[in-house]
Amino acid sequence: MIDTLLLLGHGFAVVLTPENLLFCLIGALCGTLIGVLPGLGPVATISLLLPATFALEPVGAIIMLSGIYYGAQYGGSTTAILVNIPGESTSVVTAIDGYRMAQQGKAGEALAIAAIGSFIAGCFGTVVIAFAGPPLSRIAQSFTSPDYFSLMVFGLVSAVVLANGSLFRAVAMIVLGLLLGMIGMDVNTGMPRLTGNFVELSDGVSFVAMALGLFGVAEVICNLEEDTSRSLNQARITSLWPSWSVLKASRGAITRGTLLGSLFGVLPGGGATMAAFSAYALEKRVSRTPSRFGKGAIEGVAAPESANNAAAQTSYIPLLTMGLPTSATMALMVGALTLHGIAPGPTVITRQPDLFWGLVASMFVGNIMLIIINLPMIGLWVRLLKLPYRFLYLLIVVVSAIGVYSVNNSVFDIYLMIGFGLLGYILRKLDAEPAPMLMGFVLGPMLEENFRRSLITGRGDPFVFFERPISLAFLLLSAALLVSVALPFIRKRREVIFQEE
Amino acid sequence: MKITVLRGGVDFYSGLLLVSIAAAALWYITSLEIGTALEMGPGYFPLGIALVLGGMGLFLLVRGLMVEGAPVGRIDARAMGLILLSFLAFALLLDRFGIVIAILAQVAIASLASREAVFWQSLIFGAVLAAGSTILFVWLLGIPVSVLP
Repeated sequence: MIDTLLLLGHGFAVVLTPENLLFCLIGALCGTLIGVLPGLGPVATISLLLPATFALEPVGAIIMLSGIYYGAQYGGSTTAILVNIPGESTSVVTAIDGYRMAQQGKAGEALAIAAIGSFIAGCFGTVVIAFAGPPLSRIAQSFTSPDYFSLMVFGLVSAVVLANGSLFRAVAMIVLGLLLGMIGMDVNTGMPRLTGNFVELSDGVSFVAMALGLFGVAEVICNLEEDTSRSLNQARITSLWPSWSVLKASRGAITRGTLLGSLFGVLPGGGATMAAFSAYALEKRVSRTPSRFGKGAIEGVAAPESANNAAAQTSYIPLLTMGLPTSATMALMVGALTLHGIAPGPTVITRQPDLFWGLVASMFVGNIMLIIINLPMIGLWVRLLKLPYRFLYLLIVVVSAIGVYSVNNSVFDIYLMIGFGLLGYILRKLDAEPAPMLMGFVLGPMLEENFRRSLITGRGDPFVFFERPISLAFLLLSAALLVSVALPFIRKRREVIFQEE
Repeated sequence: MKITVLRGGVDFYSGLLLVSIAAAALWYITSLEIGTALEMGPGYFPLGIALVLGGMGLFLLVRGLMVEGAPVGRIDARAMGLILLSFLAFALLLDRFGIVIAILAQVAIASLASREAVFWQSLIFGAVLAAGSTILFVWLLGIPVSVLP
């Protein structure tokens, strides 16, 4: 307890330097911005800004990129409430009751409760990371290669639960990602593999080119198909100070949403979107007057907004304690850490205390910044909504092109991004979400490495994965998860939940 | 552009795509040493992955031919072609003519991809982007590209 507080104090010392405060602020601002703008999600934005963080210290880079992710959860609710356009998929349910409230002239109340709920949940989620992180990483340190292999398999299977659309195709996407992850130099022999004689591929496929192609470029094309001129039927913002009775009414919903969200964030395959949907469903169930939902119930805003923020924070736990990304956004964080020479895993907390505790402390700071950015300055963000997509997409394509080039100063990476843009667009048309592919790509090399080591320790016997209890447990969990997702009633539920974490 | 729907078009075409990727990978893997479970060569793991991928692709392909399923979503060839072409233009022009011309060309082509964009407005916006990118990326972040030809 005391230790944790001391280390947290150290984290604050890391964050409260002018540069890191600035990075935190930039992250929070960017996050709010993309949260407000539909058609630009956290995955695309983080890959867009990844190249720009190269020049920074790793701590500053991660602080900024994280700010984008949880900042987007705040911004997404603003547009959901005011104009019935969820800026992010995590705010889809917020729009149901939030927009109704706005139509009834209670926009200010809804916005305030969303921000307050987000703030409480964000802080609580951060406390959970601070206290649960170190013990979990100690457990993870006792993992052997077979345990790791099975953990990665579990993580990948969970990614399937996240994916939208066909289960079988989602698994196929993971396998495709694994294969793409094999491209490049073989670590053990130094031989180039699957590079097709392109020298540029000997270090592997550029992570930024892949992420930007699959999410940035392909999304631009998808958005251009649709009619993007938004008819803004904007509600007037009333007083941003919620009355005491409203606060009291949402107290329970915020608490339940926070707890549920924290839990969903840690679970692989959970994630912020699922958390928001589940929290809304839970509120409706525990409410004494479920008929109010859909007609402007404040609980319908408070619970999902708290849940998605709590989950956005706690999804860092598996990443920082075990090196396991649970969503596409977390896979990007793995990429960011790796590009900065930090291997995500159980040793991050002990070997990179500045990074871990700095990040945790930055989340407190970031949440405080966000509530200020979002409440008093709300008018500014609403005005930004009027930025037409016909300008926004030009900005996206230009920054993508420069960004991907700047990573290796290589035109080849732009060609690679074009290829992945094409692939990503076609895959979307074929009802296959590219998010699991990115996870497979990130985990592929680690999976292979642990597979090799396991079989060496097991003298070539594949039963090594079933002999270790931890490994066996993960494999059984993965099997159980796959079976349960294939069951019809859970499958139906999954179909409601969209992608883009 | 509408793709003719075979029975279960989505299954058929995604199967076809996966099988072709797996086949290409297998073709490359034949030149790698496979090794044994105890002493794996560089090709061991990729071979396994490619075989699984090919198997899954084959399953989808066959299912697509046998069972009626969802048709392929409408592909907007114009938006797709022009956006990808705009990146190609940027890549080809960057080294030879500098970042300003590359950005202007990219914006001009990308602008045609949207039904709502107004060409001259896009060009003005493109000029703003070119100026901003020059300041931010070339002068501040020091990306080694020339500004003008």
